[in-house]
Amino acid sequence: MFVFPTFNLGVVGTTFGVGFDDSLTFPTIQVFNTEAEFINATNAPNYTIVHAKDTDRLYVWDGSYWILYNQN
Amino acid sequence: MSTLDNYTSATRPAASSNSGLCIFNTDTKAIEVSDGSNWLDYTYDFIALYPYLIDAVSSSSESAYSLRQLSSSATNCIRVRRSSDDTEQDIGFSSNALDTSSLTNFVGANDGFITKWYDQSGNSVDAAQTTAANQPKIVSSGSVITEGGKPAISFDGSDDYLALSSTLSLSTLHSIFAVAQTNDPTAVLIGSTSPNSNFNTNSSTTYTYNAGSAWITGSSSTLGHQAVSIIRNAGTVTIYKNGSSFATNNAFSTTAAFTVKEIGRRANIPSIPWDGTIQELIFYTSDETSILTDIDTDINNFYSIY
Repeated sequence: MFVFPTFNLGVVGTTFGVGFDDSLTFPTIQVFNTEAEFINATNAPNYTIVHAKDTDRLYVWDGSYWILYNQN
Repeated sequence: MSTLDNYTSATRPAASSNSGLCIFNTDTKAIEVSDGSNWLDYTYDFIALYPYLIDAVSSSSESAYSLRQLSSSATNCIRVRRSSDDTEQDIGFSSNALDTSSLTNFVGANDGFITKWYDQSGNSVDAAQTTAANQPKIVSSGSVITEGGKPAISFDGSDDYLALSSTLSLSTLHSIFAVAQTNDPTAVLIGSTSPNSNFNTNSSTTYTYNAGSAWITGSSSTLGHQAVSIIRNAGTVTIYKNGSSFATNNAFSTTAAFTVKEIGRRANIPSIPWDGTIQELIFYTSDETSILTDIDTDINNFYSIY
């Protein structure tokens, strides 16, 4: 059940009339501080997707290499 | 830990019945999201630590010359003439680098000269020299010429150069990556005529990038063994040397293209040819600033320049 967040000072969020699907589970990916923390790792499960804060990139491990996706 | 479902373009489910599904396409390496009608691609930019540099870059290379293997599909690296009998032979790769054993076995105790430097991009814009006296050297008295411990092509600073089979027109949007060495403060690395274009050392602290009569003045040395990256985006040119920004000039013509016909000289200014070695030249008709560090790192991991 989607619960509207209650912010400081008791302000309640509103829907703005948009029909968001509250049955979906948002995927959460691991966020690293730096690319260097994982770029040489080879033990990630295949097709793991992560983010690095120092590059603002997404990375997918394809089983052999990290594939890099730049933020546009 | 989050993992993506993986499919090929042929095996992925219908986008129309999987709105919101996010997958990895193993054919294209793209992350794809279904919008309920189509698969939308988020294409990759670079593959980290991949053994072949131009395969690791998402953009297609316009032309690529190196004494290491840049593409998994490249088979020939150079064609060499041996001084003993002027016989020529193609030399390929071994362990992703120039096959120096085949090279020295072929040349023997004499000298070996470059008659062709093969384009590894797949576009077949090979760089060649048919005049023996103008051929740069790769083997000297039976020993492979090296720079920083890696094979290098030696240009004599007099009349050596290689001519591309067709002129590269890099427009006003391009990236050039070079590994070379010189101690000559006025030496042309690449050039063309009709139209005039050239990149050269103009002094010990200044490069000339000529495509609209402008140049780059820096504050550090232009000499020595170096990895030089040139990024042009319309009227702005930035030169990086050994992984650091050297200088930027934003006063270039926004319409004058940069063209390349020769390696080691510009035909109508033959008095300042390249005097030193060249190990790699890669050309893109795209701005690769977003992966500049990745490319520079790959180059330096191999050549250990800085």
